[in-house]
Amino acid sequence: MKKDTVEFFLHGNGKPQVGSGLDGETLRDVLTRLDALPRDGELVFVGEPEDSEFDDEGDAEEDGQQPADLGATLSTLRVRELRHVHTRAVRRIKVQVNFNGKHKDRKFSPAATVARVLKWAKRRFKIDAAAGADYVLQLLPEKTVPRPEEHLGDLRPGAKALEFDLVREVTPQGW
Amino acid sequence: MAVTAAQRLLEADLDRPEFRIGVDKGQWALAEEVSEASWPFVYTWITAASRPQAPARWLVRWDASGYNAQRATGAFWNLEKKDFLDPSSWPKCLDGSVAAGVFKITGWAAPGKGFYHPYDRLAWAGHEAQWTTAHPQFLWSPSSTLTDFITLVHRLLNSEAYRGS
Repeated sequence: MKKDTVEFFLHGNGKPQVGSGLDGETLRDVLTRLDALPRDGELVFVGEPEDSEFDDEGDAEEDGQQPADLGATLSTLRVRELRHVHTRAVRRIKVQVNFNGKHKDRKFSPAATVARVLKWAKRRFKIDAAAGADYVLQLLPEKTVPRPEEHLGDLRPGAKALEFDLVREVTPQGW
Repeated sequence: MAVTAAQRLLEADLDRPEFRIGVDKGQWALAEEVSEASWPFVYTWITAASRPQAPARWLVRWDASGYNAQRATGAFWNLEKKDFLDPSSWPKCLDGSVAAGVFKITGWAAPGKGFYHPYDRLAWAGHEAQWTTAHPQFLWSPSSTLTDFITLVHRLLNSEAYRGS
């Protein structure tokens, strides 16, 4: 691989895939080559939102991550460090989490991971760390448990809202 | 020795972004390249949450024979002794937690030689009917991959229930 070649994980164009481009190439040119340009009204995000956004008591109501400029180069967008490119994305996904008959919601970047939502949900429902060790997010209506590193935008491409139940995982039983 | 279809399938799965993203984030890594010489065994390091006097990562040996038509089985491995990690050295976890259940070293058919979870071939045997109902999200299917299993072990080693070694 050439020194100025940047490898990254591309999301939003079917299953996640590994893409590559040159430091000096624009994001538009790279996505064009990968047949992954956003269509009308769709956006591209680079990287994942920072966890620090809701580490303080006053959680931000919404992720602050901004869409990327398609005309910027991979170098300018720090794709080499940030590693993830999310194309054909909506601006925000409204996530509702249900727990014990109560609901909390927040707008997340489509580049946010399920682990990030879980961390936020445990904070909002005031579940302490030890007690919450076995809690997972179950996507509705399928009731599947997505992997922690999956990105919200990959769960249901194009969706502007997602709903989860926060549930205690069942411990396998038997001999 | 010829490369089997099972080995080719596993190598393809380990080349997918789902596995590579975990490597990229430092969550896991192959301890050695998958090879015909070591097949059907595959060795991975899995990173754990920081705990006093506990390793930063655990070595897991996976037996991937028949992959992925059948489940793999995995267990913590002692690199120096080239044997299963002594059960007394397996991760300690909060009593009653899922992590404690999956890493349990007594009270089932293959303690210290497999993970007590529906993904594990050794644990699955004899629990088919019970676990099909109780754990529908962990039923092994053609779309399941070893990365799913590795992700599970990583998640448990990074949960608050994990207490160290």
